[in-house]
Amino acid sequence: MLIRPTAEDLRLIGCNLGRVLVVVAGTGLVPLAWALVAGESAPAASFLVMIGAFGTLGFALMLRPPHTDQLEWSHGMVVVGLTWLIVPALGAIPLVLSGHYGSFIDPYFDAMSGLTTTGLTLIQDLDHLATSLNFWRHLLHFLGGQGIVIAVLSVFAGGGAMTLYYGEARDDRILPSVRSTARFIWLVSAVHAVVGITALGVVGRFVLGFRPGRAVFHSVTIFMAAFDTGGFAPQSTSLAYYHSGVFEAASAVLMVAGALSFGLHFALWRGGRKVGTNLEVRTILATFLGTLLLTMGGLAGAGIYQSLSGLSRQGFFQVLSAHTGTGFATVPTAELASWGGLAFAGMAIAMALGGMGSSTAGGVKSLRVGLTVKALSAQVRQILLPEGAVISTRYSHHGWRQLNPGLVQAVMGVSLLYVALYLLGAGAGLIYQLPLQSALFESVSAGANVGLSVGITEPSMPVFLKLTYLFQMWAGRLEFVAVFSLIGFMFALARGK
Amino acid sequence: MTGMPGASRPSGRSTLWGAISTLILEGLVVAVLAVVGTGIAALMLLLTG
Repeated sequence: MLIRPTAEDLRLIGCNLGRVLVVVAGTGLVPLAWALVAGESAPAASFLVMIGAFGTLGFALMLRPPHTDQLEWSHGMVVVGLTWLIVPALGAIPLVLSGHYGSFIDPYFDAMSGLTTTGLTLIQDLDHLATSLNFWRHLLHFLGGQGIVIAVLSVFAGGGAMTLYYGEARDDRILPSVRSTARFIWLVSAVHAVVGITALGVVGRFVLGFRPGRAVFHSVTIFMAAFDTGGFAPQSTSLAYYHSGVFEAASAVLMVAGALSFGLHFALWRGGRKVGTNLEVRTILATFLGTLLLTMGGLAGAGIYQSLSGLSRQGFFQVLSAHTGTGFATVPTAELASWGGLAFAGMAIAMALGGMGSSTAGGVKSLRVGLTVKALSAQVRQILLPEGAVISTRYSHHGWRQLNPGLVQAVMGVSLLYVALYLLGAGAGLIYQLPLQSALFESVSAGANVGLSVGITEPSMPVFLKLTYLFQMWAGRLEFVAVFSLIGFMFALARGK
Repeated sequence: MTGMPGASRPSGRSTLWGAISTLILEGLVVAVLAVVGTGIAALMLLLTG
């Protein structure tokens, strides 16, 4: 039997949701300032409307504060689930008003894609989009990659803030308090921002020959898309636009940095002596090399690239883009769609597995993959060894830990949910007679928040498929618990006793 | 992340050197992976004629 939420529950949820919306309203001032400096008056007006919408709703929700500030798990999960539905809806306002989208669902799709750091897009004529609107799309990557709630926690964290932190699919409580952990995450991002934007800007200015303003615009947007493993790009041809190995290399470093867990960043900053034994590090290296081998083998076998430079550059970058969950493309969509057989398998597996836990990447996550393999291996050894033999199930992840049945069950449960999510999107694609390979590729790309496309995601695609991918991006980013909690909460609200 | 062991480690000051060495390490990892990737590509081209 479900218990109907009380008025106090609703006030707690509303007040915390309101705080998040007010903080997001504040971040809207950044693209507004950009639009004013760039002399883009229409986008500036649309940002004002958006800020007003966020602020009005946020303050309205905070009008009736709860008697206590202590969030319980259910409250935290519902706040996170709702945040990740409402922020893209209001964040889509400037995109709706831009005239670059066919219907309301398309800008909502793009805002959700931006916030969940997916990178699939339904925009029309991207190459002529106002720079401030393009900046806003990439800023959504940054907000989502950092975790919107993390942004709020770094400003004010009330009682039970940890529930919000976990709700956004993070569990690396790096420092003793949630606030200090949130601030460490911001520090890592700030350091990478300074170095990344400078490096990309220098390449843009002196290698690609961009004017200073143009170099700044491209370096800032590409930084946010690369470090937050998002995949939006300011031009419709993605990273292929730059035709520059140096630019791709600088982006690749940021993509790798984004796919590392913030816990690993912390360990490295502290000296990182035991990083080599970390199960997550070993797993991601093994799966990356495995999927690279598959993809390269498939591409060479099919004769798609016959030169060493072509095969190594395109194959390496695309597998890296898939495995880190970034979704930058250096090959045209039509060419990517022709990667069949082993190359397709390598790319799809790389996307499905994803980066590290508590990073900005999506997918099943390396630690879950490593723990699953470890658990299966222990089970096989148990069967083969004499009865009563003791099997070691220790693993290293920021210290030695013991694998226990509860953990294995949770890891396998979430991994299975990801498989189900990937199959859901593929099934939806099959309804519209799409080839199985393409339907599966696009579905994994949406569910694992990658953003690579074989051409299915376009404005003319069926509405049901758009809604399916929207759900996949949302559920995949939140790793299911907040999603199920929100569904349960809604059910309790309607049918609870 | 759901289904993961929580990690709570001692606090400490993150040093500037730690940040710089991490950035260098990230660059080195990409460089090594790119070299390995080129090796794999060469091997695959050799094997497939």
